[in-house]
Amino acid sequence: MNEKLLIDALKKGQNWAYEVLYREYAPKIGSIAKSFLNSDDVDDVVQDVIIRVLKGIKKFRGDSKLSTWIYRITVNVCKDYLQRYKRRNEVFTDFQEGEEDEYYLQPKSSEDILKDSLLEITAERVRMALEKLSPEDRLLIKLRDVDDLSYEEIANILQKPVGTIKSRLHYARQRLRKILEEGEENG
Amino acid sequence: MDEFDRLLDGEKSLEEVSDDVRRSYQLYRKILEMYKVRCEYTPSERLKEKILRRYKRKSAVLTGVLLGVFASVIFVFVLFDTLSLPSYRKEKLAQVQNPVVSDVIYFIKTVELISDGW
Repeated sequence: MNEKLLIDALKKGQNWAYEVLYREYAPKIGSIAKSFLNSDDVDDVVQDVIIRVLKGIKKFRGDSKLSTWIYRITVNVCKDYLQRYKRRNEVFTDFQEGEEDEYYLQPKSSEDILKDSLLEITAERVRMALEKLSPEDRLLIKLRDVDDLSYEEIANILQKPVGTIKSRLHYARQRLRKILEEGEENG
Repeated sequence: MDEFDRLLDGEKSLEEVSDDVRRSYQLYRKILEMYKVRCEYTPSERLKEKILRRYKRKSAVLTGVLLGVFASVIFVFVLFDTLSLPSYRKEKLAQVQNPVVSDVIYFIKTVELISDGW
């Protein structure tokens, strides 16, 4: 799909462009929201982001890629949601940084636990390790290591220098490894 | 950046790193696969319709407000125009009187000039 064509059609409010936008970007927006927020508000985030895109597309000058612009809106909307959670005191405290010591470990598995259960515990451990990371750390790992975006693109989305992104990603990876390795030793 | 980061960024191959890093890398890749599955999101058709409805409703409200403002401005203008009709007439009258006034001034100036000449 030609990006310029899509942008022009979105500016003209053509229905097919909305269809393409939704099909191409809603899964990506939702995926980022899931990784950043770790909550059930993904549909709401997708809705808010797409409305903002439709409203703001006329002002989009094309300085960056459409995807970068949409990712940036997504991150901003997610941050708004995070602020809302904090205000409502609904955010889980174990998402916050500097509380590694409180990391809850799964109880040791007994010998008669089935293989399936063991697999489930591993998945559960990963889930807990990811929740232990800050939303920003999770987002960096998601954008770079899962979605395979370049450092420059991530720097554009988060509006931070490339060096900062590299260094923060390094620590995020290190934290995730540390949490999991500690879990393995204790599990 | 350490060996682990370089390996993840494709700057080094598995053969070039130590056993520890290789083991960590393999564990990390497994975690990423699980993370990817956890983050997967399939948007529904219902949501697509809902967003479009919400967007169109907002646009309709905005258009309504703009039309309302426009109509109000026109109404105020017409009202003001109707109420200020007597002053308009005054202006007309002033326009008619203006040439008479300027004629008088011209006459006075001419008299002044003649008297200066004397």
